[in-house]
Amino acid sequence: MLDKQIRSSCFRGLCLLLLGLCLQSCLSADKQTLTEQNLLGTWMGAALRLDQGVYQPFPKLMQFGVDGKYRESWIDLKKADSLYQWKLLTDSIQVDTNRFPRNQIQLQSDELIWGRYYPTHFYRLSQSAQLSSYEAKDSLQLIRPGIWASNFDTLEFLDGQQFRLYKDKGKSYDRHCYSVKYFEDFWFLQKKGYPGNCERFPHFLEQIISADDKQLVVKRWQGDRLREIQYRKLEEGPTAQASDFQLCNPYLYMDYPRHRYYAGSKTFYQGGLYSINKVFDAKYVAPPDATDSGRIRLRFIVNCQGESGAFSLLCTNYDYEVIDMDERITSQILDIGRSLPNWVPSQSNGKPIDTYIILYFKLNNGQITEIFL
Amino acid sequence: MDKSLKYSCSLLLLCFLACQPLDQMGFKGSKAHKIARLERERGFYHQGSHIRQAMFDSLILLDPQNEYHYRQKSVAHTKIGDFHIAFPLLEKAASIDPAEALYYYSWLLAYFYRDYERALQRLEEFDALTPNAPDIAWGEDVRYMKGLVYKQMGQYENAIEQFDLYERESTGSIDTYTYVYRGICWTKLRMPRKAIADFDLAIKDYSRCSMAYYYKGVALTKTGQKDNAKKAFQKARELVAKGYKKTDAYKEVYDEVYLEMIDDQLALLD
Repeated sequence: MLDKQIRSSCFRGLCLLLLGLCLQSCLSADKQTLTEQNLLGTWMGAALRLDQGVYQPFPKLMQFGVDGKYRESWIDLKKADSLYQWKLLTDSIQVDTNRFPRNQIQLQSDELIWGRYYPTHFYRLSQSAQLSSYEAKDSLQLIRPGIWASNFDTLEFLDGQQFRLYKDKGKSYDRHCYSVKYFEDFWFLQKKGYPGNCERFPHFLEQIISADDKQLVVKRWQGDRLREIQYRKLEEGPTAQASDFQLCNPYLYMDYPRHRYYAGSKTFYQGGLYSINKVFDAKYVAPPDATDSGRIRLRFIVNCQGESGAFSLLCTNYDYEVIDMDERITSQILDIGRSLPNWVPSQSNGKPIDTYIILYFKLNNGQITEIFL
Repeated sequence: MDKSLKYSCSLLLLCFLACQPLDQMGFKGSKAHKIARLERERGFYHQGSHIRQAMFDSLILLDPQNEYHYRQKSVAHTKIGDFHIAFPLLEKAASIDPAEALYYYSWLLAYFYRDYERALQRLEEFDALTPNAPDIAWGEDVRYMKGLVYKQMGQYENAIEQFDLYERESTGSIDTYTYVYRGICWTKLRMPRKAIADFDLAIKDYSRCSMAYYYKGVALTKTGQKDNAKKAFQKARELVAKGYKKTDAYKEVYDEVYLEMIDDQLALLD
């Protein structure tokens, strides 16, 4: 009798599990069919997936109109809007003369995922009730100077369309710029730039949902999805200093070849290995009793302003097994590496970019026998 | 068990199966089909992409005796300096199919890893696979590369021997830098006149060879011909300033010449 009860309970449990799996799989497979009707509207480019869990800003707006008109606008990138015709075909969406296969476009509620290998996530924009009657001339008043904190970040809007983004638990901050943009009844906050340049490297585009003296609500890509983010105004901010090293491109990704030293015109040191060797010859002193031999990899970033930072060091033996080395050696390599002042950043389309770069050291009994890159 | 419960469960199972893509359940596609699909799809992702690397992991699982997958997976790691990850993959590739793997791996050890002992060993291994036939590793003559590796190891006589062999036995055109690097070896062996003869050969071959002019200047300095040395350095400077110099996008070439080097030499002569 008891056995029968246990069997029955197990079976019911199994059924429930099966039901759960069934619902989950059916729900996940439930993608909306693409129709002209459900494509209509204005879509905000929230993010482009560069790799598993890695996203880049894609500040483009797409507008599918009822009359077959398609408008494409890049927010604040000084590109003219593009106007085309669009239509839905049996196997694709045609925009101008380009055809995008339907099987590479997914529509799930208000999210449009465009492309298969590097999918771009678009979101259908909906009007914010609070901002619907906001006058364009007041645009800058939407963002109040002061310190604002959300669950994800703390920032300080300053006069002159600059802001500080606090990091290291409020110990330091990076400096960027922001602007407020208006497009077809929608308001956007576009952050970008680095000290001395407010024109390049846009951050994820943010739709402003509401703004007043005490609260700011935006929608933007955060982590792995679009989120509504609430900022509350703080009376006091962290006591912080400008960071020693700031990326021009906050989305630099080491595993992306275009973000490495050999991208573009190539990042290099003025005078090459000849000059680097001179610096190490002058500064490095092998500990007299050192017995360490092997290789040291010094990897770091040269930003678009030629500054170096984000150093990391890895030691291996000559069989490429990771080892620990004498701290008197590694600290010198790190310190001298950090002190190298003459990096020339790579250029892409004639403009300097951030890149990862690597210096390699070969050592015998603590003596540097070769430096190369 | 209640009959209706059985029917319900069967229906649920049917629904579940119907909602799953067939290939996701492993019901569709042979192993060869899966390999072909992964091979095709990986090309759509950038080198270093974690998605692409995961595809290589799948390819290795499906086809563990194919050296290509190990070698290809290693490339992204090498380029970002993760030699500790790339090296075992390359060793595995070389153990499976030396002829295919060493064509790349021996070249890589010489230029990228600057692991001269291993490079020499692997170049010789590669060379020995086809006796009496000149071998090319990643587009470069193996004898020329062995010469470079010996030079880097400070074994200048052995280096010159390899450069000579390459010059004597090559059926095609000789790389100009054979003369430059042989000249550098002669200079190191304190035979500057032989070095100058080689640098002149290089300049005759390629009149904008800034590296030949620079190292000719160094050799001339050692013979005491200061005026001629100065002229050679000035010519090298003029060429480098115009962008005529041997470079490589991924690495510094051996004995690469910089304006700063030339200026230092000129300062010593003044």
